[in-house]
Amino acid sequence: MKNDTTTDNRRILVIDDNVSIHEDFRKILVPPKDSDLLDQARAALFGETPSLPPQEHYEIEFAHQGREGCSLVQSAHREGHPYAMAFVDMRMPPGWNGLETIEHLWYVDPDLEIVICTAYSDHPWEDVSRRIGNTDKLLILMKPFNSIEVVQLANSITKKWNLRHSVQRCAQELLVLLKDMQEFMAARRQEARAGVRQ
Amino acid sequence: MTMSANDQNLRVLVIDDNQTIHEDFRRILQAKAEDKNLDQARAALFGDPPRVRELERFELDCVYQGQAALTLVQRALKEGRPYAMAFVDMRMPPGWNGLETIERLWKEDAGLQVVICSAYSDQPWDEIKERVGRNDKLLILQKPFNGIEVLQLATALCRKWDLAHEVAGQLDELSGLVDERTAELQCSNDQLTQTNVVLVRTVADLEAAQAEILRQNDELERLASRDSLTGCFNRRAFYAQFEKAFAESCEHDTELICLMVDIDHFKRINDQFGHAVGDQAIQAVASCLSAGLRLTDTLGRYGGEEFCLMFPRTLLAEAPDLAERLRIQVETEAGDRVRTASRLVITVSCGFSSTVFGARTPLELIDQADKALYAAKEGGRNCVMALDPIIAGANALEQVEPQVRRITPLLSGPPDSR
Repeated sequence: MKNDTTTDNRRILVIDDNVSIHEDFRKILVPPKDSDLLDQARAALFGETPSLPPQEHYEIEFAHQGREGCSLVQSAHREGHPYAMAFVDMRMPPGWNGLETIEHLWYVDPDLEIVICTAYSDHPWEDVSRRIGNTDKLLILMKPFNSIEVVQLANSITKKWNLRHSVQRCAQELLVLLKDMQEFMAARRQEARAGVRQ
Repeated sequence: MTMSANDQNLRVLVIDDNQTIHEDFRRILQAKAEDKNLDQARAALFGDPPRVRELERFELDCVYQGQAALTLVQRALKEGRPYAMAFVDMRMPPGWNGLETIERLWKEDAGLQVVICSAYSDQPWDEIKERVGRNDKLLILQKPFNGIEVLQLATALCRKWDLAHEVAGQLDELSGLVDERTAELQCSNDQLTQTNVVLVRTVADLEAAQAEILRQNDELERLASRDSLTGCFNRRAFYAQFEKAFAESCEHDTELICLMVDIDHFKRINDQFGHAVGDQAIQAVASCLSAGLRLTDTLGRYGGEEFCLMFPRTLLAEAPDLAERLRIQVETEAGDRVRTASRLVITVSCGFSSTVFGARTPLELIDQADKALYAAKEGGRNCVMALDPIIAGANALEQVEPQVRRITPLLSGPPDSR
């Protein structure tokens, strides 16, 4: 990762061959701006405290096919503003299916959190289990889904990505700090020795 | 929290009023031993690594009601091993429903990840949204659910709990480490400062010692070049300076006058008054002579009662006055300076020469002056004689009889009384 300034990454990629699904995600995750304003206005008028914290602002992008999604993930990762998570449809004829897509996505960005969207009939679960192995970065969203499921997934899973990112960055900082301090100490010790010899 | 950052938290709480649901969760989240054995056997037989890594062993607790769940969560917190996540059923008569349960659980343990399990028929969406929505620790699981959904939820959310915990832990660790290193640096800094203080002190001591050595060196040099009785240059030191002045006079073609002075009848003073008075007489003469010197002139004690003086860059014509003044100074003052013997009269005889008389070495110039001094002794003492060669410019000593010229006017009184 080249860019360390992405402290709160809310970038989401939706990979689905169905354009109406894209629209659903957009409606759910990027609500019209005035809905928050309306909440606030109501709160101001009636002296209520807003019942809900404001919705996270997601940056959402779309791909119609696994291959297209994969190249988006790859370039985003390379350019240092990776996606935090992707919603991937299980069936996307004529290209890769969901599982193939997931494998490709993790190949170019192993940190990507993925939610696979599927209908019961799509795939034998034993096969899914075998192919993806034991990973903590995959969740399953059953179709038909409700908007609150998507909202909660987006919120919880982008948060998880950011937590992981913090851990990694923290660890790096720790290492750098340790190295700095070791060098500093070594220099001081050398100075001390030189001082004694004089 | 007693759990270390490396430990995985795999504690899962299932809250559902339905016994069969508990069994489902156990089946899904607690992998059976046979499955694992089968996997390992296959790996051994066909040499391929198991495609599915060994399932994480979730630590599962199942309760029927929200109140019981709250008790377990409280106890887990108290024991320092909180649950990572909970699956919460939406409808659990007769007790709290799912939402109330979640609200109460979060009041106890804000870090708990929650999956709410509901059926379509529950239709709780708006209420869920209003009461617990837009929270990053809540996910939804719709009934009927599939094993892999549950497994992935448990895996993902336990991991998420670990990550959140690690962030907090790492920050603690980071600040702890910084404190530790800061203390270490402070300590090493103190040591350095101490070493530095010692060093500075040592350097100061060394500098003082060096100054003392230099001072002692100067003192030694002074002592080595001085005559201990009179404080003027001793013969060796005087001669060294005289050589230098002679070379300079040759080089710059300037005149150098050498004046030899000898105390008259010194043996008689010694015999009459003792050596102590004799020494004082020598000191008195030395101080009279040095009092009459110009800055460029140099006085040395040449022998027992004999002094040698040099006047660099001085013309022969100036010398008589200089010499005569010194002689008179001695005659008038030296006796009075010896306080232990009253009415002592001390006089000196003087002879001088100049480089204009052709001396080729310093010693030769001194010899010439000595000749003049001898003549002064012969001439009745307490007088100044100058070398005065017949042939100017020729070497005075090579002339058959060295000629001298009396500088001091002859007195009317009998010379013997001196």
